[in-house]
Amino acid sequence: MRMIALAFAYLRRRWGQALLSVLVGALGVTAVATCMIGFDSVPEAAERAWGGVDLVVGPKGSALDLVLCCVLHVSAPRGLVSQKAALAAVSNPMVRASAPIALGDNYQGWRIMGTTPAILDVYRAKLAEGEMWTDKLQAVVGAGAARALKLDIGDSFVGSHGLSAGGDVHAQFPYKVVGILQPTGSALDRLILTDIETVRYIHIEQAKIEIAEHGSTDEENVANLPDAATAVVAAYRSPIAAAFLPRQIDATDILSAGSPSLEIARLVGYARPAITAATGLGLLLVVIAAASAATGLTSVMNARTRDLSLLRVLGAGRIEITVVAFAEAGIIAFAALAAGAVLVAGLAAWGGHLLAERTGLLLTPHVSLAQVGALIAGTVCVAFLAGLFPAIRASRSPIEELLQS
Amino acid sequence: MIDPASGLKHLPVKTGPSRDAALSVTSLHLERNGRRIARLPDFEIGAGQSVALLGPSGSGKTTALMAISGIRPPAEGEIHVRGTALWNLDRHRRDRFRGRHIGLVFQSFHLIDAVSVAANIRLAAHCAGMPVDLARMDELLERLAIADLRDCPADRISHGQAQRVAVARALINRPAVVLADEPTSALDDTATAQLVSLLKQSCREEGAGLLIASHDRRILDDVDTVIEMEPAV
Repeated sequence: MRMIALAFAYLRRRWGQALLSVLVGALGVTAVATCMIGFDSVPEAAERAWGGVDLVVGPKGSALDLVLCCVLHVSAPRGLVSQKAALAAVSNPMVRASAPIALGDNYQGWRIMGTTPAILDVYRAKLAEGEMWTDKLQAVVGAGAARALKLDIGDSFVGSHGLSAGGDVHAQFPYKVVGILQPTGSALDRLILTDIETVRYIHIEQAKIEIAEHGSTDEENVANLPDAATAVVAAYRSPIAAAFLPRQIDATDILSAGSPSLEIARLVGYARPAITAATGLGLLLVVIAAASAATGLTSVMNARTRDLSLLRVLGAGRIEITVVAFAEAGIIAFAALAAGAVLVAGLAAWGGHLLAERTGLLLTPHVSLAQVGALIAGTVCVAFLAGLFPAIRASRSPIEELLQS
Repeated sequence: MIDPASGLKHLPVKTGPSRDAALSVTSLHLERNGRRIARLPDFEIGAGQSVALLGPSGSGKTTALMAISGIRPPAEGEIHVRGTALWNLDRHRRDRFRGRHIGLVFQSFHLIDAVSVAANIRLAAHCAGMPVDLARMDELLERLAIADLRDCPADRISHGQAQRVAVARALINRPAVVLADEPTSALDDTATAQLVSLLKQSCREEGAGLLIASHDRRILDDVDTVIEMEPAV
């Protein structure tokens, strides 16, 4: 029987306490690893989601709102702008492509976005099959939306009012799918595109119906602004544009500009204290797990003095005796690491699914070798510290007392 | 040689350590807390021979066993096990030497409860840095009639079974000598006779010397010879 096997046997004997130490350690590892992964993965997911969009121009208001609503497509629009005015604002040789967008309807919770074919240039997107629309009430579906909604070329569907499922159904205006986009990894994959004139047409017609039936309409803004759009999105030809174009647009009375990269960086900046706090909490859990393991081991070593003395009487050296103490701490630490890794993988899969479902952000969690190394090195250090005091105590076990007992 | 006054069987006076002796003790003086407490007459134990080290409680028997097993140094004297001067070895070698050449049976046996009977015996080999001879372990378990307890947890066996496991553990490394410290102090007459007989027979079969430190005069008839602790001079 080797000393490691003896350490396992001792752990089996006090499995409840050992399990508790492993669980606390695993939670600590999970918290630290999740923060390490999340710190990189969430901004990366956001960067993928904004695709090729460098600038979004919308009504006066928060730039972050504009980015969240019109680029990441995770919040509702705050107002409307004149398409003509917004397009004029980005009409600049340093802008590679621009397209207006109009939001307001959805199909089973998937956003229908009125736009122009130029949107494909902004996102550098391509058709996988079919063609772009040539008439009203024709739709081109993003790859993710087509897969989730099981839409194919020639299929029809009816949109409903609002950006989430459950709004009034525009039953009189069925769409026909004429094209499906290739996956881009961006928010475009989750959108149903149609001609911006279709969106205006549906809402103007809806306004007429509502006025005829009730004498008033919720679609007043659209009716009063014939070239209404939610925003204009644009991609730069030259990064120099970022230096002055947003400032120029913000200087106008009616328009605001939002830069996805800047706003996401700002958002991550806001979240950084929370991430740091969560990492700290994880480290605290790891330390508590180590302290729990060390306290448990020390008290167990006290009760095990007789056994350790016996091992010495049987010929074991001090080093072999300390191995038993370190092995117990090491087994607990590596079990916590393994359990933590499983928890992190599960949490990343579940969290990624939830994030994709709620915001469309696609997490591709990955850890670098350096991060894995840091986690393992940290675990080894914690195991060493947890086993140190019990090991010293074990190595000093008085063997004379065994014969006198 | 039988002392007509005490009726005890005494060892003949030795003239120096023999290379053939399992254990040879010469001019051994013992101390506790820096004060000399006892001395032992010079003696040798041959293979298969059993000796009782007799003395009342507190006379220094356990201190003598500590010196003979290489745990605590004597105040003076020499101890040879199979011709090796025990106290000339450094601590690490002495620990290993003890594991390989000296079997120990304690009063309360001191089995490790967390592991099985077989693991307790294997540990003795491992601690001594010896390869584990499973066939020999099984043979010992058979001979001591505890083969069916092989995989039984050590904390689930009876007192009598624990005695046998302790004997098997002491013999697994084919020691030169087995030292037993007060093995019969808590036993009735029948159990005492059985244990001494078991120790004696096992050591004889294994070719090991046996030294039993005890204040229990019931064992006198069962051993080959008796030596008595002597007060320090």
